[in-house]
Formats: sequence, C-alpha cells, structure tokens
Amino acid sequence: MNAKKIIKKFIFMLLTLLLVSFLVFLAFAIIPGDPAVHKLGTQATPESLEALREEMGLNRPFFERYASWLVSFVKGDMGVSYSYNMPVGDMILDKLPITLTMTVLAFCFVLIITFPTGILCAKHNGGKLDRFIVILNQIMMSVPSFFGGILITIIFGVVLKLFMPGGYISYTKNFVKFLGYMCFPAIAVAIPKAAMSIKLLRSSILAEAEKDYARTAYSHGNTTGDVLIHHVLQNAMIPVVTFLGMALADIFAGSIIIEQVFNIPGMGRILLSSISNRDYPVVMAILVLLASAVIIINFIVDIVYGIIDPRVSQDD
Amino acid sequence: MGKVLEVTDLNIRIYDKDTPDTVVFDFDLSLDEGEIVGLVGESGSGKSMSALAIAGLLNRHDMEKRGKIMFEGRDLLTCPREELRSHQGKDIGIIFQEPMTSLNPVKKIGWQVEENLRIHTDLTPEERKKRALKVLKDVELDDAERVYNSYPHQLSGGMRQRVMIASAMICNPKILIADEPSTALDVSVQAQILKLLKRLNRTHNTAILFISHDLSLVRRLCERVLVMKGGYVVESGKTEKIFKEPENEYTKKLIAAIPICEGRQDPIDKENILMAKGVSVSFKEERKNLFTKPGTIEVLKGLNIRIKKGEILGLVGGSGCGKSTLAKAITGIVPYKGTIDFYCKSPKMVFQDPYNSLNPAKTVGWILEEPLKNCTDLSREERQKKVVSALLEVGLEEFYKDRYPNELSGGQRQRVCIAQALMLEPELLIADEPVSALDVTIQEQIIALMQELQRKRNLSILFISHDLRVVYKICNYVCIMDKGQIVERGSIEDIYTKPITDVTKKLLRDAGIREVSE
Repeated sequence: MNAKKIIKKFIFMLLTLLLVSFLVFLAFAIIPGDPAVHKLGTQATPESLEALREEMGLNRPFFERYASWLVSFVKGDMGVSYSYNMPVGDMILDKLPITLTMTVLAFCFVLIITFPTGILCAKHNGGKLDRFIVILNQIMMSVPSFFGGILITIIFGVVLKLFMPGGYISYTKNFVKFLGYMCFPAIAVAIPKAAMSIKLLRSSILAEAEKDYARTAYSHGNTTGDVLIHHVLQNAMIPVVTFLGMALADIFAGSIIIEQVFNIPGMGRILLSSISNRDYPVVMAILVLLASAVIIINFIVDIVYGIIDPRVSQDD
Repeated sequence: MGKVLEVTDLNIRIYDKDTPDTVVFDFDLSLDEGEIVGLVGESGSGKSMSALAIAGLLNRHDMEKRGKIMFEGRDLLTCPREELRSHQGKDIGIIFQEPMTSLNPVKKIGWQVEENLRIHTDLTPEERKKRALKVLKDVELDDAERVYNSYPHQLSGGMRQRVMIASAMICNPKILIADEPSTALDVSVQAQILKLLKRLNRTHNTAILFISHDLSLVRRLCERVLVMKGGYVVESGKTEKIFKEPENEYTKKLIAAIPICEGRQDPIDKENILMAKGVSVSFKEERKNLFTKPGTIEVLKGLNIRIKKGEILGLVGGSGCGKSTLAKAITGIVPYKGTIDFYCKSPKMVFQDPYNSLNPAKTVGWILEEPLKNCTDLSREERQKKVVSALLEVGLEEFYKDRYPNELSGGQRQRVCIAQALMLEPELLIADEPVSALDVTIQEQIIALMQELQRKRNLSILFISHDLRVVYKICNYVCIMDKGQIVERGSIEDIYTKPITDVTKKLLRDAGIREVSE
C-alpha cells in the first residue's frame, strides 16, 4: 500500500474520530439530568446550584464547551469524575491495561486456534477430523461468552482448581499471576469468536482451492499442503481479516460482561458504575475511547488488507 | 524422433451421485519429440479431461482412471504421487484457457514464474531471477523487469497468457499441454499467442498438445489432429488429410462450420428502423487524487449509423473500440450527445455472458415473465401462456420454465436471454457478442436460431462481435468500427473481398479469413 493512500485513510480516520467525539458530546449535552443537581443533591439551594454550574462551565454556549472539552481531552485531561472526585484520565489509565491485556490475550487465542484448525479442516475436507471440528464449531459458536465463562470457572476453577474463582490479582502486585488469571476470561471470550473465524476460514480456503490458480499451482508439482499454504491461504485470508477486525473491536468493547463474570475491575466495571451514578465525564471518556478503538482497528484492517491483496492498494 | 508420451486405452469415469458416468473412452495418443498435435472437439467431448489426466491434475476422489500414460518408461497413472509431482512442471507443463484466473492474484509474477525452479531445482534466488527474466523475454514480454515485479491484475489478458506460458516453459519441459490457450483472448492477441507457441516449439523442441474447439486454429498450428466427440476419438491423422478428406460425419460438420467466402444475395433496400447521427459518449476518468480535476475519455466520437428494417447488421471491431458503448447508448443505458431516432418500439438487448446475466435466484419462468409484469397489463394466465410460447419459439421445452439458470447449459441460457429480449416483441434487437462465450457447435445453433427469428418476426438485429467469421455467418451488411468511429461499411461480400482500411484488413487476418479468400 502506498504512503499517499495510507495518509488519506489516516486523515479520514481522524475526521471520523472528530465526528464521534462531537456526537458523544452532543448526546450528553441533550440527555435530561443536571450534573449539578446530581452532585449537590435535590435539597440544594438554587444559588449554590447556579454557582456550581458556573464553576463546572455548564452555562457556557454549546460549541464553546465542546471546543474546550475536546482540547483538554486531546491533551489528556478528561475532566474530573463527579462521584469519585478524581481525574478521569487517572481512573482510566489505571483500568485500561487490564482490559487491554484481556483483549490482546483473547485475540491471540483466536489467531492461534483459527489458523491451524482452519487449514487442517480444509486439508482433510470431508474426513472424520473435519466433520468432528465442524460439529464442535457449531456448538462453540452458540455458547455466549458469559456462559462459557461460568463453565470455565466451574471446570478450571472449582473442579480442577487451576485458578481461584473471583480471586483477581492486580498486575501491580504480581504480573505473572495476573496474566495467568486473565487467560481464563480470555479463553471464554475467544472460543465463540474462534469458532466463527474457523468456519469462515475453512469455507474460504475450500472456495479458493477450487479456483484456477490452485490448479496451476498443482501443475507445477506442488504438494497439497504447499498449494494451501503458499497459494490459497493468502487469498482465503481476505474475508477472514475483515471478520478478525470486527472480532477484535467486539472483544474490546464487549469486555463489560466477561469482567463481571470473572470479577475483574477493568474498564467495563467503571463504565457500569459511572452510568448508574450519572458520572458523565467518565462515561464520555470511555465511550470515546471504545469508539476510537473500533475506528483505529478498522484503519489497521484496511492497511493489512492492502498488504494481503495487492489489488486493493493498486496505484490508480 | 523418439516418442515422449504414449497414452493407451485411457478411460475416465466420474461417479456423480453414485452412478458412474464415463467421460473418456479408450483414448489413445502418442506424442513425438517436438511435434504439435491438435485435439479438437466441442465442450463436453472429453478433450480437457484427457489433457488434465495426462498432466496429472485429475485427482478427485469421485473419479476413476484406467489405461496407461507412459512417460519415460513409467506409467504416470500408477506411479506414486511423489514421482508424478517430480515430473509436473519440470517435464510436463500446462497452460489453461483462462489467463485471467489461472494466476494467483496476490502473488507477484516473478514469484509465480520462478515456482517451478524453486520446486524442481537447487538454483540460488539470483540464478532463479536471471532465468525468470530470460524466459519472460523469451515469451516476448519486452519489459521483463517490470512484469517480474507486477501483480497479475496489472497485466492484460494476452500478457497474462504469456506469463502462463513462461512459467510452464521455464524448466524446458518435454511436453507442453495447451488447453484452449487463446479462446478467452481477443482475435488479434490469439494470433500472437499461436505464433509464440509455434516459435517455442521450434526453438526448444517442446512437444505441444494443442487443445481447441476451433479447427481453423488447429489447421494453422498442428501437424496431426485428433477429433473427439462424446468421449471418443472419432478421427485422427495428418491435419491436411483430415481437412481434405474427412471421413467421419462429425468432422465433416466441423469443417463445414469454417466459413469460406462465397456469393451472397443482394440485400433489399428497405426503410430505416434506426438512424443515429453524431453520437458521442464520454466517460469521466477516475480522479487521480483529491485535488486534480477528473479528465474525460471520449469513447464514441460523433458516430453515424443506420439500421434498416429486417436486416441483420454486423458491427465489428477490436476490444475497446466502443462497440459495446454504442449498444448501451442505443438502449439508453449510457447518456450520449447527438441524435438517435427510432422508427420502432424501444430496442431490447442480448448480452455476451449468458452465465452472469441471468439472476441465479429466479426460475426461468419468472425471468421471462418479469418484463410482461412491468410493462403490460396482461393477466397471470396470459403471461404464463406467453412465457411458454416464447420458450418454444427459442427451442426450449415447456418444463424449462421451472428450472433455475444454473441448471442450464451455456447455449440454453443464451436461448433464455434471447427469449427474454423478445418478450415485449421488439422490432429491433441489439445483440452484444451473443455467441462469444459459447463453443463453435453451440454458436452455430444460436446463430441459426437468430436467423430463424429474424425471418419469422421480420426483426432487425444489430449484431456486435469482434469476430468477422461469426459475423459472416449471419449478417448481410457490416460496419467496421475503430476508436469510436465507423471506419468502413459495406456488404459482407465487399468487406471480405475488397477491404479498404487497414483496420478491416487486420480484422480479416486475425480471423484467419484472408488466407482462405486469397
């Protein structure tokens, strides 16, 4: 992919981010509920409310408020949490590594499971192993991650005692144990996603293996394995990459549920508590972060696309 | 000269839904060093199956192969896979009909051309690259370095077929199997590819098995010919002998299908059905980047054309000359400048690709009924009646209305396309390369059908094609098109015997007609 095209895409990505931030700000400006009332309670006098509004900048015009919010947001100052009275930036910085670790672990599991299994299935298409994996896949696909999480807690935590259910260990205390604990929610999240991507990769490989260029490759004396890995795989990955991008975004944004099941104090937890507390600065910051993650992942997927498929990055 | 390949009693059976179906019967072939042998037949005659079997590419589980394919004293059918692979690409090369899809779209040309060297030799990467560049130059790709670093989509069809030939020839194989190597290409490119194959055959002493449905190509290239029909070899021998004294009925029919110039009746002057004056069409070029103004490409440049009532007018030109754009302008699919006057109801169109121009999710009956639903007030019963009569008219039986397009053959699909175009009883039909995607015998049938419809309904047909041979069979008058303009027009007789412009002469040469008439 040429630099010009990447820069173009990058600028486009920034514009999208700007739009998202605006929409988030707009949404929170028009939903009912006065943060000042919430902070001081319903018994507060109108004068003290007015003073607080003035102090929080709630009386200024909308665009002025948006601009100053955006500028300070970009600088890293995401405001002060209403309910905890501490900077939102610090709160998120504290929780972000937890959720990120979980996401990265889960995504690695998806990759590690998908590619060998998908290729193996396609190579032994119609055989016993293939049929077994296809059926297993169908089951795994229909297990929601929270239910998988409960099963994993029972099997690995209660029966096999590989980890202590609910015994989250902070990464500041013991990083290795933290990683060990995070593996289990990551697997719970990874299984349904991996099942879906195996299904996609398998059928994509099978469809590509029927194409003329695969026949050409065989005519050069390649073995079946060589044809699949050197010729077919790269073509078959094109639709899978799209799915993997969506899956990655989905894992990150969907971490709320699995964090509840495994009692992990990540981003999901503060998002939930801040929503119920009407802690707008926190909610806004997390929303913008999640949306940014999705947009940035899409940007990366676009670039990976260009690497895999030269037709996408054609210079015209 | 020694034999390089000897195939005896090759039988191929396919088990489709447990009922075995033999597709090749007792196929015999011997190939001498440096010989070119032609294998001719219509699609489904088993010629490609035999070729794939020889190349060791028929490995599906639902197939059974019997017989012997002897190469260097070993039977390729029974030897271990490992041994077969050591010959594939090194001693036996194969090129296919579709250069567009036979190359891996995501790999660079250089990587693909070098593959045979990677598998069969111990050359270093530098030596491999040297050999690859040499072989690319050898197939007359002058800008070898650029091609080496390109991806398939950056090359034209003819260039891709050259790349295919280069990758098949890089190990200097003893046998090259060419399975319809020029069918998917424009006639002018076709001629170049044939010349190239002939040259490679002479310089490298490679034996070539040339498979084609087109007898005139085989005649130009091959010393010996095998004619196949329905899985059997019906006739074989020296090419000239077979052309002069064909013994088998089918061979005679095939040879008769090659056009030779003969007198034609004078076309009768009639009133105009379409009159186009100064038609120009231009397309916007895609923006190069955000800031430049998109340029325009003029496809048609003030073109004039006239079609008379009841005539089949041929419109011939090389690819990219604007003939399809003219068809689209006439049917109103693209906007144009200039005037097009109709003296009839709006014309209907038949497209080139019968495989993709029918909706695969709808039955034939539904497809045929649709124009009636949209444009007439007929009742359901009346519409059904018309659908059935239209099917019968194009030579399909009533039960085809419940079939889906993928259950039909290419010829049957094109019949459905024609029937669909005729549903609203137009007086003018625009047929854009209606037979180019079909093989010769099917081509004949579709052309006969169009002629019959033309007589019965007094239809006018604008018959667009790149192939003067096809046009010869069906048209009275021909317009030759080049670069968005009509450069020559006249009766088919005049165009064939007294061509004026270079464009026409080249088209005649490419179609292999000049030689016959001279």
